Amino acid sequence: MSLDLERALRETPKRFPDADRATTARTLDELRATFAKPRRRRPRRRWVLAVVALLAVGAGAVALALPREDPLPGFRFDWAGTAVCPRWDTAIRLTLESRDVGAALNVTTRGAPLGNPAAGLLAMAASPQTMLNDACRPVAARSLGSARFLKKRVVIRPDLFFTREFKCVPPPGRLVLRIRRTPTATVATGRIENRSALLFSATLTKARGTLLVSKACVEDRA
Amino acid sequence: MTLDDKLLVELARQGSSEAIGEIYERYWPVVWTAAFAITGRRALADDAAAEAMHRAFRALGDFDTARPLGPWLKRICANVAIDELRRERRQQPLWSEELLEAAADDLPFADDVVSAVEALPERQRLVIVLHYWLDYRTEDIAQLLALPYGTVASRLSRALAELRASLEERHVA
Repeated sequence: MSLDLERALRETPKRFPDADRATTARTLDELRATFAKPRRRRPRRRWVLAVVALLAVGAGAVALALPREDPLPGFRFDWAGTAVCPRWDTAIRLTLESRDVGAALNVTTRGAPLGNPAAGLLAMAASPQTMLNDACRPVAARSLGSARFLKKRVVIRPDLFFTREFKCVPPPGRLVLRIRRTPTATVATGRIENRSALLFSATLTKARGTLLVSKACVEDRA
Repeated sequence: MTLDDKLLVELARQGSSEAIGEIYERYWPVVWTAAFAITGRRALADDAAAEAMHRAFRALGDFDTARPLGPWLKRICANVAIDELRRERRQQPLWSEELLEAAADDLPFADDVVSAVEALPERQRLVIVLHYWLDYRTEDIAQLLALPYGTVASRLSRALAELRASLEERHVA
């Protein structure tokens, strides 16, 4: 019997499910955006280098002469996008906005804020170390309208502004907010998930001063 | 490590998008399954596996290419997943009793062996998962969990005994 039990245990992983395609694709995109470098082509002739250098100097001079524009995507310009959960109608609303010194992702439920990470992010823009210390401080549970703000967790990675998690009721599940900066855009995602399903996800993308995508969707992945 | 893996690592270190994609395609299923085995939940497995891949690619410069890539990735994932599990345990309970009962119907896989493993106390469950599902040796588990070898061995033995008893009750073993 001992042998049977051990064999049954070892064969168990064969019945495990696979990761869903959306997660697999999203993670690969994030890895490529973070770690892949654009290919460099070697110039064939020295004069190409000289021309490029001249152009660069010229462009630099022009850039210095003009007012600075959006050196860090997602900053400098006011912009905002809103995604509303179609399943709970206006119950969950994600709003992403950029301000003079930072970006903020707000989540509201029935008009009451579920949590406002703006202060932390603004602090991070001023001082990453301040943000790290501030963001990791535990936050006491409190009630806000129909939503219970139970806990937040912060993970800071070089490729991400931040990730925050909230336990939310309703809908029962985990709310994960993530603002990520790529070389060309700032992407904010919010998703609400419970044990077996991704209930709601919203993505807001800002690139080159324009809000490109604002979408919300309900996904079931049984 | 196969030659292919070695080449892929070198290319990925240089920022090759194709190499990153190829490594990911090869090892993401392994990493995700390890995360799922440890956490037992899709959402946690997604987060742990993604975080593990990010950590691995960040540390790729320090990776010894004389060693196999798969076990290294799996090890990173196991560490991340165990951290996630411990973090979840510290949080306040999310699920009300009614919701837990409802969620039990949605478990992604449910048979007697898995149910019996899930019912074990966490420290016993973890050694069973690492030993039988992720193929770690007892000494590796001891190192991973920062526990003495004897402690891991006795947990493994007790966990097996409890599993056996549990399955006998269910008339399965």
